[in-house]
Amino acid sequence: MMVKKSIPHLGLAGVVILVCFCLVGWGETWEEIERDAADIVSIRAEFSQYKHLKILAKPLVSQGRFYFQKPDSIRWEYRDPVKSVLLMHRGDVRRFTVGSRGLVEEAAGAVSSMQIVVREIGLWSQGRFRESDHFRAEIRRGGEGTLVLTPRDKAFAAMIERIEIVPSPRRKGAIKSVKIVESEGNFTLLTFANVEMNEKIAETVFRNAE
Amino acid sequence: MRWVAPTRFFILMTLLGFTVSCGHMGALPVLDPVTDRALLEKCGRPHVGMSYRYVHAIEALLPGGKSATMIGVTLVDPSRSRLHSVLMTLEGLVLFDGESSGAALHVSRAVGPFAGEAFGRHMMDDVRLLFLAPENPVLEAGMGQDGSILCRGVGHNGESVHIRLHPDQTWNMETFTGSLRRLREVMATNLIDGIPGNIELKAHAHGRYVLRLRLIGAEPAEIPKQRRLPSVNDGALRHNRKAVPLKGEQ
Repeated sequence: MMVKKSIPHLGLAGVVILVCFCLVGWGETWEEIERDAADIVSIRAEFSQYKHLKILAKPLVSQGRFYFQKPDSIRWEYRDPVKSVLLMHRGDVRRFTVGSRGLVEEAAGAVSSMQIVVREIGLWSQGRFRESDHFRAEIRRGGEGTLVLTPRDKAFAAMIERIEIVPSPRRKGAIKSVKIVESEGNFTLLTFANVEMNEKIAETVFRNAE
Repeated sequence: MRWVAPTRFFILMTLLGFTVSCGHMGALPVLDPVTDRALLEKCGRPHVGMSYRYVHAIEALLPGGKSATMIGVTLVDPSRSRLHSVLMTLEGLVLFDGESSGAALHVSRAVGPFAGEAFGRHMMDDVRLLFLAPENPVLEAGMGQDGSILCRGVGHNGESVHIRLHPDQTWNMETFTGSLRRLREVMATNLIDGIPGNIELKAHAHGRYVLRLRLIGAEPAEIPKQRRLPSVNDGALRHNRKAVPLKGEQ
């Protein structure tokens, strides 16, 4: 069971899942989304991740915290069942995981893919979904007004069918849930709690895994 | 979707090798299936004899000091020698989804470096070694001076399987080719109701790597009827084991 080759699309897909939480700002039109997103500078929140698989009788639950600072700093931290931290800061992407050897930096995917992701974050955090080279964005009217992202690239589409982002009905600019659909019956649902926006976040949060 | 054909020649060679090799355990008494039934059953202790679902955190230690951590979900149906295994990232992105029944492998999803046929085959071989008792009976067994039970048999692919069951319920397993070239080493510790809380697998062939599995949850599983295949291992031992709660059930 060897993992040797570079995995550009895999890395991109993995991080894109995280980046979805940085999609802030909500409106009826693209112009409104872009305008609302401009007001958001930082986010801090707790998340619960429910992984649904056909092989599982019940979803597998993971929990953690995430931090976002414009333009492109992210800390995505799992606390349970596996302690892990993914840091993205000034174009540098690193992942640390607590294993048998303590907190260890893991083998990175293709760096080039991470640079693409960082560019995506820059666009999305400003609500500029329509400018993405990798996702086609669509606002579904009616109901909860879901934003649907569909991969443009075939290799990417082989991994993620679509991403559905549902806005919070209570708080403008906040996200209620993100659903990443991989295939029929296999999807990841993320929900958020204790969301704090535009609070000051120390730079060390994005630099230090500890 | 691919189906990989089995290799039976290897089994014959190993059986022949058994008669001339003593291995690192030394000579052991040849078992009688009737009079040595109790010992035979103990030799089956590493493998649960009923359908079970496991979730593990898997730390892969790779050459060059690199490492990667994934989540593995494994559904085991010993009565049909059937396995379903899913590997995914911590974010939940599925990297590999494969099923094997007997020696056949069906891969429904594999991305990036997990897409090669060899990867799928070797991965499922590792999963099979860890979670399914060999279809072939244990050939030799004996008691060590420290009270451990030593068992020797033939693995799923004809390899020689050496199992050492320790008095504290932990166990070790090693597999060898017919010429006693080591293939895999497995160490199971921190057992809860017979299910290892930690498993370490060292690969000495088909790539060199170490997998460290930490149990997140385990539970008896209902296998959907339409997914059932003809039985190939009805002689599997039966154990009465309890569930280790999956996260979210506590």
